[in-house]
Amino acid sequence: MGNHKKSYTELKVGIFTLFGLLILIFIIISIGDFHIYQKGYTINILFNKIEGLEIASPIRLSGMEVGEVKEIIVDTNKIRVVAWVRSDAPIRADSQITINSLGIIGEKYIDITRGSPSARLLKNEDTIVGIDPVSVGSLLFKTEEVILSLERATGRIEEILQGSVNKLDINKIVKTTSSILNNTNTIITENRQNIKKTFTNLDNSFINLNNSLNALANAAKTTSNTIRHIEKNIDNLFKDNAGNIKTACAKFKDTSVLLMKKILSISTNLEKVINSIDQNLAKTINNIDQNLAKVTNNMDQNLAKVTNNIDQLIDKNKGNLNTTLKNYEKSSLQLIEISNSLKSVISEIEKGKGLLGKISKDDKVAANLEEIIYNLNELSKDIKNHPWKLLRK
Amino acid sequence: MSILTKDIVAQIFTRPFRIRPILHQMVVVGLNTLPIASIMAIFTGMVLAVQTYYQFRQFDLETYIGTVVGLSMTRELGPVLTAIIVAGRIGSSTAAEIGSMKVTEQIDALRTFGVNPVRYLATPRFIALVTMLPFLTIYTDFIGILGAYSISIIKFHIRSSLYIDKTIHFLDPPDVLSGLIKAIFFGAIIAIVSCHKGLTSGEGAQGVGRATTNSVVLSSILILIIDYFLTIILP
Repeated sequence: MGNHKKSYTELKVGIFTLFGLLILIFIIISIGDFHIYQKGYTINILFNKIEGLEIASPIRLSGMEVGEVKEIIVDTNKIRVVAWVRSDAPIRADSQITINSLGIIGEKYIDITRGSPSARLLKNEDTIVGIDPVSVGSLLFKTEEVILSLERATGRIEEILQGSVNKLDINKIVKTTSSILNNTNTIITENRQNIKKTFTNLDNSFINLNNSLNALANAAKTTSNTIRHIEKNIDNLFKDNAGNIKTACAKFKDTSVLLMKKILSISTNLEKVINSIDQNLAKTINNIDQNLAKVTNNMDQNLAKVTNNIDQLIDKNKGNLNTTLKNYEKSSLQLIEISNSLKSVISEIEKGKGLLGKISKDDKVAANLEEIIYNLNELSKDIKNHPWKLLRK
Repeated sequence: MSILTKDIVAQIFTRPFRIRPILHQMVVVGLNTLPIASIMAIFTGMVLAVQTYYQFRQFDLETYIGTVVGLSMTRELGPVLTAIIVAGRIGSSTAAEIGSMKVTEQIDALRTFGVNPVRYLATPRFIALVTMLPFLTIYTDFIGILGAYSISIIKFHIRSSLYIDKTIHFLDPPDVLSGLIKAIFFGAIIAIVSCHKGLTSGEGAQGVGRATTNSVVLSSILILIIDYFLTIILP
């Protein structure tokens, strides 16, 4: 029984101590920063000053805790912080590493930004340079400056607000500006590659432009040289042939004077010819008039005879008058036609003021005129061909 | 007292080992003290949480209750309060037991039989206290933190994950271990003081009563004083 009791006591003590040890192990593991169950890698971060960063200070990637400071080593001119980071936390070559204070307690931690997706991922034992922290003293000094300038700025803004500019407008402006900035930002981030490309292209084009301009300049130089050469040649040509040109010019002058004189005499002779033509024409027209009057007179007399004969006929053939009247009607109608045609002839003759009218009504006149025109033609040809005849007289 | 200490320590390494009294004392010190220690711990943790909450709320630092409770429980309150409770419960009974044995001349009887009273009475208690007090401290640490945690979650609606994170983040293994080292020293103090007071108790029931009182008072004061020096020494 005693043995049984003893083992019972041993069991109690055993359970008690075992539980105690289990709790201890649990606490130690949970509070201890053991990474037995986590894979990770270490990176070296170089700082000029670390502002009180300590071993086991947390490392945050975009605010999320991903590791801790393992070691702080003083190198010859920098302080090297060995940081352990979880293997699933990507730190890139262009990530910005700063030392910040955490909350009111002021615990220091290393803050790492994500960096751009195109940048290279850091591997185990890689080294990266951190951005040195600003000391609190200088920060306070700067803050004071900033506050003073802010005070001035707010005073000015107040002035503006009290003035003509509407509050709402400013609000709107600020909103639109921020949205514009956001848009610009997104555009830039989205098109970073394109912008880069564009700039490189621009660069290349500028180089090309430069080359072309150089080529152009060379071409211009050679062209100007050739032009100079040509100028010289022309100059020489003029110099060589100056005498010849002068004599040619003098000759040209003389001939032109002679020509002028000749032309003047020709024009006076032409005037005389035209005058004589005019006189002849007037005479011809008179003759035509007289002939026309005679013709009309004859026609009048004949008409009177015809009417007399008609009268006699009417007297003789009163019985046949009716038939005759009918005939007469016909003939009178014909007469009217004749007279009409006559009228038109006369009117045409009357209208015929110029040469053409007269020519169309009288064959002789026309013949005469034709002859005259022919002669004139001949004369003008003669003058054209032999102007010296005029001069001679 | 220093002679007694030397005696006790010397007797630990004297063969043959007598396991059974040690185990018996272990059960008395460890298991039997656990309920009262747990009640002490859970209420201490809760009180600490409530006090901290009302103070820290002024600075919007409620989530740091876990940090405060965790650090104070593991570093100070856990070992010290457990030690004082053990001093009250075990130290007093030890002093009374040994004192009454002294008064009734049982110690002399033991000596007559050739049994070393230190070896027979003091050493098992010493070993039991030194080993069990750290374990008790582990329990009280854990239970105290648990109490503070539950009150923070239920009463103050602090997010559980945040509380745990804050507790774990600011607690380091050295904090817990220093508390346990303290507990070992406290166990030794209780054992030596109570045995000494028992063995040197005065005549009659009055003497035993005085020895018991003195044992509790002295061990408690010594615990607090030694705690100060240990806090300075330990990291």
